[in-house]
Amino acid sequence: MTTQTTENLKKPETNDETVSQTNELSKEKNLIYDYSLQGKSACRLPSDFLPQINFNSLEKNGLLRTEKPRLPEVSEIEIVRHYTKLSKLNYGIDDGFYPLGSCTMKYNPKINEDVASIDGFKNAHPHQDESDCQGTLALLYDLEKSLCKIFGFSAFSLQPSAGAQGEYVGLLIMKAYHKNNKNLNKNVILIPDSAHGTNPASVTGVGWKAVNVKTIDGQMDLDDLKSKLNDDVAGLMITNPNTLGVYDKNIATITKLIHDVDGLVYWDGANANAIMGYASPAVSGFDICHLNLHKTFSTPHGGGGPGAGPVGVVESLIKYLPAPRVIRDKNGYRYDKGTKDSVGRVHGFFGNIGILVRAYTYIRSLGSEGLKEVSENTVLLANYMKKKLEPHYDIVTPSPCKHEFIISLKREKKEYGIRALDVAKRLMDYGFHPPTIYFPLIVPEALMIETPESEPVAEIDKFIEAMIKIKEEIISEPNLLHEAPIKAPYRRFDEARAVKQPKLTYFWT
Amino acid sequence: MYYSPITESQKSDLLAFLGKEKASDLFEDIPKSNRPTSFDGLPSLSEIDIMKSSKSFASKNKNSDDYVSFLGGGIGDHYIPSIIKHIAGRSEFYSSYTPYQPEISQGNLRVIFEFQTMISELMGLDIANASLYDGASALAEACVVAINAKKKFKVLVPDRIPPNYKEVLKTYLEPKGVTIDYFNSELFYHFNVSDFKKKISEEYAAAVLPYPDFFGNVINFSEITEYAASKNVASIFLCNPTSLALLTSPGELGADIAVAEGINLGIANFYGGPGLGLIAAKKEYLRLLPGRIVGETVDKEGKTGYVLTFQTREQHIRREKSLSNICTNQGLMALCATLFLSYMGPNGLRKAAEQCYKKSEYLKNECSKLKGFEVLNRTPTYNEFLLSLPTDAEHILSRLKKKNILAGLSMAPYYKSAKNVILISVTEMKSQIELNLLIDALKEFEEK
Ligand SMILES: Cc1ncc(COP(=O)(O)O)c(C=O)c1O
Repeated sequence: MTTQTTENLKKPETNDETVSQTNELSKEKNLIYDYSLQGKSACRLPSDFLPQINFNSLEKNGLLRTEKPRLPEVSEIEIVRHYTKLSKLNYGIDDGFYPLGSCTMKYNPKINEDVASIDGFKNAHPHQDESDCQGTLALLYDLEKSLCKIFGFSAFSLQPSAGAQGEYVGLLIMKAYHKNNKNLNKNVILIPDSAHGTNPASVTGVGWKAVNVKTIDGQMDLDDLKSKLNDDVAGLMITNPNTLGVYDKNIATITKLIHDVDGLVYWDGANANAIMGYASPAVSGFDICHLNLHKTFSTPHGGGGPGAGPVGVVESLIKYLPAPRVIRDKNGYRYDKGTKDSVGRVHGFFGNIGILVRAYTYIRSLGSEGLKEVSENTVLLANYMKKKLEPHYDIVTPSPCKHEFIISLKREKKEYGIRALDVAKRLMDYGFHPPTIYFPLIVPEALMIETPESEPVAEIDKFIEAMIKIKEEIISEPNLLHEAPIKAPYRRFDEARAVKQPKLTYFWT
Repeated sequence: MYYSPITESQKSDLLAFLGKEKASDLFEDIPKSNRPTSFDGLPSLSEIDIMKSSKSFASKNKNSDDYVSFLGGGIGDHYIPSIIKHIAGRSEFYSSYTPYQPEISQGNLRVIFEFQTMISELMGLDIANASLYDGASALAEACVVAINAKKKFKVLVPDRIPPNYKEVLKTYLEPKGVTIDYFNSELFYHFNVSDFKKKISEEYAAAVLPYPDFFGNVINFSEITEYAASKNVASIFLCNPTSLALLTSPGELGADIAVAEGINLGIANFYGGPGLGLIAAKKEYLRLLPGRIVGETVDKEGKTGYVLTFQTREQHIRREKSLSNICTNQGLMALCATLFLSYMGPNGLRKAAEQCYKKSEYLKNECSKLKGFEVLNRTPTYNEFLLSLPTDAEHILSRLKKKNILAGLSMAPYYKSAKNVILISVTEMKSQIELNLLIDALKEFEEK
């Protein structure tokens, strides 16, 4: 999709070729199953050289499948064309700006993909001997050391597959710590009301209770925090900069307050892109953290994963990390099977290695200075855009913001009946992926805008221009927003119908 | 810095607009006491140097090209059609976010809908989700589904699930106050169905049924699932998806929920990850399932399309009341599996599964003829089996490795009584020459 000028945005009919082409595409019924014809097949396997072997023993035991699974029967070219078409109904970072707050949709460097496709990495089997995997083990070891350096922690487990699994591991570490210290009554984790949904869900997942702490002027309300501190408090989870895009200045005070009740403090590192070289969570008093390598470290989001959510800890908590972890001795690299205190394993093997290889490549491309500049540029772009939009929108994030800021459309909703969702959909007509909406929950009608450092200034300017035009439309032609999108391949969907009349597979009955 | 599209003079302009002199002025809100002490010193390499150095790292690995490998244990040496890397390598797919904005994400949404269909079909169940992290966490999540469905806090698990899966189950279930009862067989490799059945009782939320199990055994569990249902116990199948074109589906055998590691569906081994967690279930479990689910609907103009649905199950809406915390999953791997299954089709997948089975049977027969060797499995197998060797497994494996054969996975680290036992995995990839190579190499160790 390309950015449109406002003139032709008003009329659904257009001469713009790419747009009308895309609209054509979506008219077709377009599941791979729609191409299926009995007897067609793309697959060419070597011929069977064991015709003498039969399936009698399976059959005798009722184990021979009699009804084929209904998979599509299609040719190779139909597969290639179908999925090429589908790809054109998608929007990726290579298509344009992705201001998706909290998600850090930055450019995914191509060399990362090339490194990850080297056979030596790609074709290694997880049960090979350690001596046969020294390359991968060395890389994992070095990646861990690099992450320690960047964030100040003493060790990382690279096993968790995503941020949420990292949170789960982090909370288990807290649990193990308190158990070892005979603090068995501790069962409460304090969480700011601005937190991401995975935080409270992870707390419940380990059998603990999440208690909200209020936010005031974009930061944690210290009075509310103090009022909730007691011996039951096992720890606190906080994103910093938080989901409003604010760096909480009181973080050292907060971590101290928690430590004073013998709690541990967890840093949700989803927003790490904003602080590299400028803040160290470990130095600020955090005990445990996770990172989202699929955000800060440029590994592709993949339309919903795979990610990687390494968990870092301070020295005293290393023994609780999931096992195994790569260590180095005089014979090279090997796995340390962990101590009895380890919280255990969360992956069937060693983690999303393919993602770790990409993140490592990124770190080595940029180095310390480059990473620091990443944070500088994302924060610079965010503050620039924020200031440009301030005359037009109510922005709840105070200055300076970090890598993202929040617009509230509460006023527009009241005065013009326009909601965050409407603005998001209208942005599609201007050729952009919308920002995150309705998060954080504490801001009514929230638009959460993040400006990854990989965005050219010209693209940022175009987005600003679109937002300003949309503000004019809100006032003069609100219907354009209610109708939006009109230029995307599809119009708005009936989401209620998907629940009321569910159809969750092609053959659903 | 690499990848930065912003020039120094643009930077100064933006800073001037903000009334700042230098970039660091934008970080004045970060107190001195929070500043890093260890940050500096990581070098920055050019693209040329990165590629050279990465190749040098990779060259210190051995991989499936260096050996004739019979290593399995959950991940095998399976066929990956060329189309997969070309399609999954399109950045419209790999550089896109989770499809929260359906109007511009129909590519991903349709893929997930197709994926849900194909996985449900393989499993013989009604619904599947958009993916979980891997097979091990999928098994844990399935237990959580059963626990929430049955409101009981115990699960029954045979000892013969992959050892790493046991560790993951423990990590996931114990903190929730769930008890895992392991059913141990007297002989570690033999599974007595009626003994297992006797263990099933009303106190369990679920019984886990590995199909095939870690030793390759394929067991008809229909008697067990029927009995379990009568005790209000959910049957959770742990399966190998490549086998399901050949083997009776879990659904037909009475599964309530089925999970699997999907890495064998067109995804590279990559030292074990990224893999693909699969979960499918009967309709009645829909509202308890973890992760994303896509459904069909229409847009304003009546055009059919797809959206994320039943989201009130998920963490971003239900927060602390959500039954799973999963957010990012393995979307791109689900695309690979969808491409793989489209490419194979029902007949290709069946043929590949038949070849796995036949080649494995061939090896079993030939190995049984060798003096001092014994195939331990007493039930049908799919593509893996246990071979007892005349002497210490580690010894024979290392001797064969010198001949560039990885004969299998030693069971010695996992089972005390299995010092001489290896698990051999055979896939459609193996040629007759390779199979015979292994047999000839084993002959050397025959008892005289
Ligand atoms: C602030 C925050 N925390 C946690 C997460 C969860 O991370 P993941 O999706 O990798 O599980 C996210 C990502 O969406 C996030 O934005």
